[in-house]
Amino acid sequence: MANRVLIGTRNSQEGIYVSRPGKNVLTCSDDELLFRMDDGASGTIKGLYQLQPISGTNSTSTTSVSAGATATVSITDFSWTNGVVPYALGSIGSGSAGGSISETMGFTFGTISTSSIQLTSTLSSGTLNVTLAASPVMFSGALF
Amino acid sequence: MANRVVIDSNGIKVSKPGQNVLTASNQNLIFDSTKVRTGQIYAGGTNLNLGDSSSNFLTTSSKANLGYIPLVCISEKNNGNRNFNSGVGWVSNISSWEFTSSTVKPVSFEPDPPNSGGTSGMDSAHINDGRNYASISTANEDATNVNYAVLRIPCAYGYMTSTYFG
Repeated sequence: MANRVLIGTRNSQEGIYVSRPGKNVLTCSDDELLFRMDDGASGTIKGLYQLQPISGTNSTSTTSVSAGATATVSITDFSWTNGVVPYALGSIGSGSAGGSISETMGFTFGTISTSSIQLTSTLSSGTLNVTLAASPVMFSGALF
Repeated sequence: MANRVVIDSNGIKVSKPGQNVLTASNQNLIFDSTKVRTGQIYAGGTNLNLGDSSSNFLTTSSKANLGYIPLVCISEKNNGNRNFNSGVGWVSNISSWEFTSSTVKPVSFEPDPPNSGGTSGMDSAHINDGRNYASISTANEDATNVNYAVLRIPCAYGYMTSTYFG
């Protein structure tokens, strides 16, 4: 069985490393690691991608937004200093965008902070049902 | 307090707060080394206004190309506009993107539906760089407030094989 877990030195850098099944954590490539700390090679790892589900304004998992309206969804217990990235899945409860635009789901994200996310429906009638999740902004720079 | 971390001959598992790692189901684990890939964030961008331009995620710290098109989780301000007019349809400010092994680029496309109803053959998608489809001229086209995270997970035809997942 391959060595899978290393708590020690790899590429002259101490840390915790976990390899894929069947891969030797001592000798495998960076791409064959499931978990690694920055080992000083050309590639860097900024963190693990994690999402936090968000409850709606009425404490249900779905936020219903009327046509043209803006909903503010509160966020608690995140403490993400660099900010929040919102993700949304939605469907049309009823209505459409109107005009020549048909059967579309439309919304824009408004002001986003570590305490709330604003979401505006671009439908001209009916309601938009949206569920939200958020992930942390991993770095303060434009690119990282 | 629940057991949160287990290290044994199979590797490492870490459970969510309040979940016993020894008995937790997969959905209650935040890390499981029996899986072949995890969501390691290799690169990304924050609050970008891309317009029609692509963003190269390898430039910062001179990152090496992963050798595959990665899975990119992306979020932007505008989400949704599928427009059908006089039998011609297009998709513009829906969050549509083109991914390469080094860039993300906003795109729009015309799904080419039939002129008189029925089902589109989708035989000509007419993918365009950027969101500037000629019949739409609102600011909603632009890719603004773009945030993305490049994960070290292959996500393209020809790359989701044992070569990369074995």
